[in-house]
Amino acid sequence: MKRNQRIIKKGAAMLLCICLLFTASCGSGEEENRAMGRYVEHQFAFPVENFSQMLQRSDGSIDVYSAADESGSRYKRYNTMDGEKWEEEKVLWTLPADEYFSGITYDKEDNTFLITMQYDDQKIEASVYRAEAGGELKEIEIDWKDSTGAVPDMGLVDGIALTDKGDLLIGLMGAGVGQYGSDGTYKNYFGDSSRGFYGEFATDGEKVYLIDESSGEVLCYSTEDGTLLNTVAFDSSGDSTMIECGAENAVYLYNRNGIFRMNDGGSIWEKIVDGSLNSMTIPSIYFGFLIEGKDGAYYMSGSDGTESKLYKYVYDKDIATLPETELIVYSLYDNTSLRQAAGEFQRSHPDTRVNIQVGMGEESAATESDLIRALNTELLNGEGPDVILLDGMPVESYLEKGVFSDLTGLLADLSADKTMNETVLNTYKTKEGIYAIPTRFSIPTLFTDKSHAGEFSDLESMAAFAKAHADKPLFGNKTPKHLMELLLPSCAPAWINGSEMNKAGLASFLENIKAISDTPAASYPSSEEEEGNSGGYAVGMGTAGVSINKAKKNTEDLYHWAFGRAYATIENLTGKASLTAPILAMRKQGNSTAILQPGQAEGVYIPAGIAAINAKTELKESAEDFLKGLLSESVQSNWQDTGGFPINQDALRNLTEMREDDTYISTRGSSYDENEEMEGVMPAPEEKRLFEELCGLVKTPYRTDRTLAEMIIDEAQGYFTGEKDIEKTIADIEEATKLYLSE
Amino acid sequence: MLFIAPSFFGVCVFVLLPFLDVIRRSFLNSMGSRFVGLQNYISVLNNEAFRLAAGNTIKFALICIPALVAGSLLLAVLVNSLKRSSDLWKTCFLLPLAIPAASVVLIWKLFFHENGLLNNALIAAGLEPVSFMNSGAAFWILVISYLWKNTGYDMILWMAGLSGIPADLYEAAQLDGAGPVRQFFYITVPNLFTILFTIFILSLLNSFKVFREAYLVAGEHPHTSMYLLQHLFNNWFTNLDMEKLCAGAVMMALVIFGLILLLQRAWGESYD
Repeated sequence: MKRNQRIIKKGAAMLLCICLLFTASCGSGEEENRAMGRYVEHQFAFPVENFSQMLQRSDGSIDVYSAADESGSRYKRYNTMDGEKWEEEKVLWTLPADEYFSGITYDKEDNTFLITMQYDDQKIEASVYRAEAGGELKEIEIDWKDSTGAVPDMGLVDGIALTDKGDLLIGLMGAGVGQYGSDGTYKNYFGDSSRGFYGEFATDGEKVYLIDESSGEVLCYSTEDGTLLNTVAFDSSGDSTMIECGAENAVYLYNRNGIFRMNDGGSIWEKIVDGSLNSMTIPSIYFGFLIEGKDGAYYMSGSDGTESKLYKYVYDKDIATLPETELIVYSLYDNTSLRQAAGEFQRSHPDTRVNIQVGMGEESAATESDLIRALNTELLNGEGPDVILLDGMPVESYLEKGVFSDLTGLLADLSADKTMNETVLNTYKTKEGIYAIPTRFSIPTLFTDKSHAGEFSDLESMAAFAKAHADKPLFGNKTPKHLMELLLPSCAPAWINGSEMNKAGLASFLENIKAISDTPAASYPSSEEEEGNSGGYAVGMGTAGVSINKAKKNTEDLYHWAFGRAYATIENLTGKASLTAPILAMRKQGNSTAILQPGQAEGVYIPAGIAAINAKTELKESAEDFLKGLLSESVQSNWQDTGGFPINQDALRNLTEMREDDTYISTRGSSYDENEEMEGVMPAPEEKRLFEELCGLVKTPYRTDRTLAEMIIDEAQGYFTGEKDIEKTIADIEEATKLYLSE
Repeated sequence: MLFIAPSFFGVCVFVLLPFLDVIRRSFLNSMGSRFVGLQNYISVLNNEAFRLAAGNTIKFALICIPALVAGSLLLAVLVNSLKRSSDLWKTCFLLPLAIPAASVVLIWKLFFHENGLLNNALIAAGLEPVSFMNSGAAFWILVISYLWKNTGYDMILWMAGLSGIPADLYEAAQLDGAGPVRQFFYITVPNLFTILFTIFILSLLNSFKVFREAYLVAGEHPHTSMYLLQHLFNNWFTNLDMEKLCAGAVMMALVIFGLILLLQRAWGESYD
């Protein structure tokens, strides 16, 4: 009997297991379980290119204010309900003479309140006005006070808002918010500048929400008595975070990560718009104002520096919360172009999510090698990212192993447009095909007087010049180690070929370095070298980097040349942003020019942003589209990318022709004389054209890796100190590098 | 069989099966897509870096293991003969084992850096400083580090063996007029013969762990004298030279396995 019971129990248990197994594996399918609904981005043009402020009326429509004349005293206003149709409206008020618009806000009845600034040589003044029905501005005398009770620095005044009771809230950049009665009397102050650094503020009419950037919290204050009601932590990783209040007293935070909502009295931020799925992630676009529309959509203003757009986020319940497919893009380092391309890809591929994985993130404790090995494990398993940015990785080894897809077909389409720099594009071309492409490149460039430029054709001619001109050094810092770091990119390609090293070429390199270094002219070693450490030469993040001390910049030599203490200087130019200081130096020098860095190889460039597609990817089409995006004119025209010059010729031209005449820049201080200064407006198109031409002259890629460069430089030190002759030095370098090359 | 089943299962899943995959990959190209026969083995055997690393590893084992086994035995006998302070000495000798690799690396740097304590002492004595980590001295630093770290552990193993020797044997030998030296060679050594095998194997396996310190101090490409097989395997992995890594690993495993079998046979015959 007992035996039968046991058998029945066991049978029932087995049956239950089978049932569970079937219910688990034969469910109703992923399609039905997938979370649905997401805010989708729509873009609209603003009626004006530049505007001062975007704000909401009580009926929910949106107003945009823009200066109507050059003096900035008259304004015009455009109004829209949905972002599509705009109507121009007349603004009756005119700003007083010599006062400039700073901020505007409405009360519940749409009465206008303005804050203006006055600048003169001595001081900055801020004034607050109420616009009367007829357009007259009635000034409100503010009893200005900061957290200490003192009159604040008026230069900090930033932002105005109103409480439900009509009190004025005026922000002080970084220092907090003051609350004043409608007659300007001081009431409360929110924030303590001695304790925190405060960002944007917002009000729901009863409470003030203030971002404390130093603690990563949002502070909630009562406008009744100024007490701190609550603090809520937030994720501040998405660049500068801004704050706004919306319907039903909800609070919104927004940054590159998305829009986050917290209900009135709540303590949790809910991500309602995912920044990684729309333009919010694009680094070149800066977002300003956020408004929650009456239609439930969110309206944001954004500008890429040349064009402003209204971004509208509308909830679509029929679209999956997260796109079904995910394109994984991997890079060891964060990369502006990748993020830009991801944002643009997201616009054209709403069904695919781009997941950018950065190995060396801000909080990563892993080494490059650890990360590469982890990536290799995935690649060996036939998995891994769909698109890989190979900077800092063993590119040649990957190419040999056939890890990537052939891009020949993709590049044929791009080459047909004749918009690419073919030399750079074909850097990794082999008989079998093109398996990786640099999306950018940098150019080691020599700056000198026009009268001397013709004398520098190669390394030997540089050494001959240095010998013939002993009154001052060729380069400010002529220590052998510094010279080797400086000249290796333009010389090594002539004597390093894969795992082989040409002894004669290496010997010539060392002898010429010694010749330049041994001239009797003065040398200006960097302060780091004098203290026993080596100087630095930063050459970007390409796999070809010879950067010994990555963080340091070789600006000292630039100063020595600009102020006449050296005949020339070498800079590795990594894009438009890197032209600023050298062009200031060229202006200072007067009759100067720039040529591709002469050496033993001709027309050397350093490939960067090297991209490839995993051969095992299941999203080859999407990966190719992403790569096309990386090479597109819009992504490559991003002037903020310091990874190198674009290989897209149209983008290069855009950057060259970009005018920034109204931006004034200055660089100051070398270790030789900290008062030396170079200043002026940003480089003009005619100054940048020389560098566009140089980009077209490149011929030879420099792909030697950092480890090898370090080995050569370390082993050669004895030759320059006289401890060993050239034969022994070459033998030592061969011995030291043999192992590495034979691995 | 039932008792060893869990650990046997673990060894199968985490050691044997992956190793079978390593053997399979050693006959394929890097990405495992094409059979290449013995080409990877030939390529590895012709590889200069492999020959150097294998030579250094063998040299390291040949110097360190006998020194460690003999030194720790001597220490074990000495500490065992101490009546009162035996526990204190055991703790002292075991202490290096408890120091994390990162701390050991700091100590290395403190002593052997170009501007470290030893070079400062040399300069103070009017001598030329030595580039310890960039010369042949690097190998001997590695040897000393290994001995310093592992002597205590082996000493404890020896002491466990010593405690198993009956005291009657020593008393009888004393009555027969045998001194401490004769007692050591005629009673202690023969009775420790069985544990010697275990200590030898553990010392051999521990010798591979010295790579951690070497890697943290000198990086992926240290001075050639301290360039071990693990450096090479590590670099091959970074460069995705999986085919060479697998072939090298199989050869290394075969050598170690063969060595263990040989020792086992030799021990077996001696014990019989």
